This record gives sequence, C-alpha cells and structure tokens, in this order.
Amino acid sequence: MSMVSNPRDAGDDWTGLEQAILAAGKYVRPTDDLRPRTLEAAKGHCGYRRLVRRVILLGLAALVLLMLSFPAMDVIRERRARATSPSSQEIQRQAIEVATRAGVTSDWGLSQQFDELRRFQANRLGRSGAQ
Amino acid sequence: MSCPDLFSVRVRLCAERIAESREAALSGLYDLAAQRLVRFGTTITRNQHDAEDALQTVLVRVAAEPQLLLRADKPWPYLLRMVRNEALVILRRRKRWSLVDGLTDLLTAKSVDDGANEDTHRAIWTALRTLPTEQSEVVVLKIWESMTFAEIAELLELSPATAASRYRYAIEKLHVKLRAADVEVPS
Repeated sequence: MSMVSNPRDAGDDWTGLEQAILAAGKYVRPTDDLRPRTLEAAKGHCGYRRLVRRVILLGLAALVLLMLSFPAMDVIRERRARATSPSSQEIQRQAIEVATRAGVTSDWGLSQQFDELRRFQANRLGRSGAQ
Repeated sequence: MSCPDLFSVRVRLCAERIAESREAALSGLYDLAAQRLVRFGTTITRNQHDAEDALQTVLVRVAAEPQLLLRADKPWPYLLRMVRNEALVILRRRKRWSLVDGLTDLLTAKSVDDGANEDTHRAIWTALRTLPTEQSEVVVLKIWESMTFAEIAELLELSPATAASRYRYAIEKLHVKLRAADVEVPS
C-alpha cells in the first residue's frame, strides 16, 4: 500500500490510521432481526414468483389447448357428418325433389335416391378401408 | 484481479447453493456477507436501518435470481455494487430531514476486551460519516474490503487515479478530524 501510506508525500504515513479504521470495521453489526426478516421476505417473494410462474404456465397451457381444440372440433364435426346416414324422411323428401325435377314417379325418384345413398356409402367404406 | 478473490469464490459457492435449493440456502450467504454489506451500505446511506433495508432487498433479489451472482465474473464486487445501487436508491428517496446525526442508529458490537478501543471506533465511525459519500465508500472498500484502487475504480465506475485521490483526501480529512477529536491513532 505504498500509494496509501504516502498519499501526499513521503513524509505522510497513514499506516496507523488505516489500522485503526480496519479495527473499527467490526464495530457495527446487523440488527438481530435482520436475518429472520430477510429470510422470511425471500421465502415470501420466491413463493409469490413461483405462484405467478405456475399461473402463467397454466394460462399458456390452456391457450394452447384452446388453439388445438378448434381444428380438432372441425375434424370431429366433419367425421360425424360423414358417419351419419340420412333419415328415411330426408330420403323421401329428396326422392320427391328428384321426381319433380326429372318428371318421373316418386317410386322411381326413391329408387334413384337409394342408388345414390348406396354409392355414397360404398365410397365411404372404400375410403375408410383404404385408410 | 490476477488471482481469484477467495471471498468471491465463497460468494459464488453460496449462489450455487441458492440456485440448487432456492431461498432455503440464503442463510449461508447472509451469514457470510451481511456484516460487511451492512457496514458498506451504512457508509452510503448514513443510516443503518436504510442500509439493512438495502441489504434485504438485494438478498431477496439474489434468492429469486441467483444467476445474477453466478454470471458475474467477480461475485463479491458485484454484490457490493448491488447493495450500493440499492442504498443510493433509498438515499434518493429519503428526505433530507431524516438524516441521522451521531451514531444513534448504529447497532454496535461491544466486546469486554475491546472496551478501551470503543471510543476510537466511535470516533472513526463519526468521522467517516462526516466525509462525502464518494470519499467514505472508497475508504471502506480500500480498508475493510482490501480492494485495490483498480478494483475500487471498476466497482464505482471511476478511473483508478480518481479512486486513489478520493482515498487520499478522505484519509487526510479523517486524520485531521480524529486529531481534532483527541483520538490517539498509532502512527
């Protein structure tokens, strides 16, 4: 510590003063309650941060689930539509429409509708068999 | 610093333990460094309670983010800087009228064997408090933390020459103040 011992000129020697200051360093100590207070505050703060992190993660997970659910719902809706066959009332209504359009009897229209339905079902079966 | 600072190594070990077991390991860092950080903070805030508040805030932050210390090249100077910054924030927030005269805020360690030196210690602390903060913090870092002027300069973001001259002025003033207070300092 030559620079310290002789800060101004060679005549100044601060070694004694520096030693006295050094000895005074341990004169002040933290208050007794600082340790438990600090540890408690750290525990509370870290616990709060963990809680916030969990809430954010849960929120993100919910968001991802929600985003994935939209295409999944579409697929389910499409599959359900494909899986269900038209009711007899629906077929009769369509048969009447076909007969009116083509100028034939309703029996013939019904027969055509059944043909159409069978073809549709055969196609669907073929597709699911291929998958 | 050419060789790794041993105290920094111990601080880093504490930070590693905190990273492993979170706030449960904070007591190790507290026991290691609290006294030194409080006395450093007290020289900045000139009030031990404010210094302790600064230390508490810093240690809570370290418990939440131990990587702050793990990432630092020199964890001990980094911790000192964290306390200094927090102490300066508190100092800015504090009203001027709340400045404490004397040493009434200090909790002092009294030893039976050291009774004879108590007056000297009190006089030194009182004299230190009369110095401008930028001078007293250099004295604290130089003498109590055994730092070189280069290390002090890095911590306080000064040039080493400025740190040295602040130290010189501070020591000269302390010498005069202690002599005026009739404190016998061995030469």
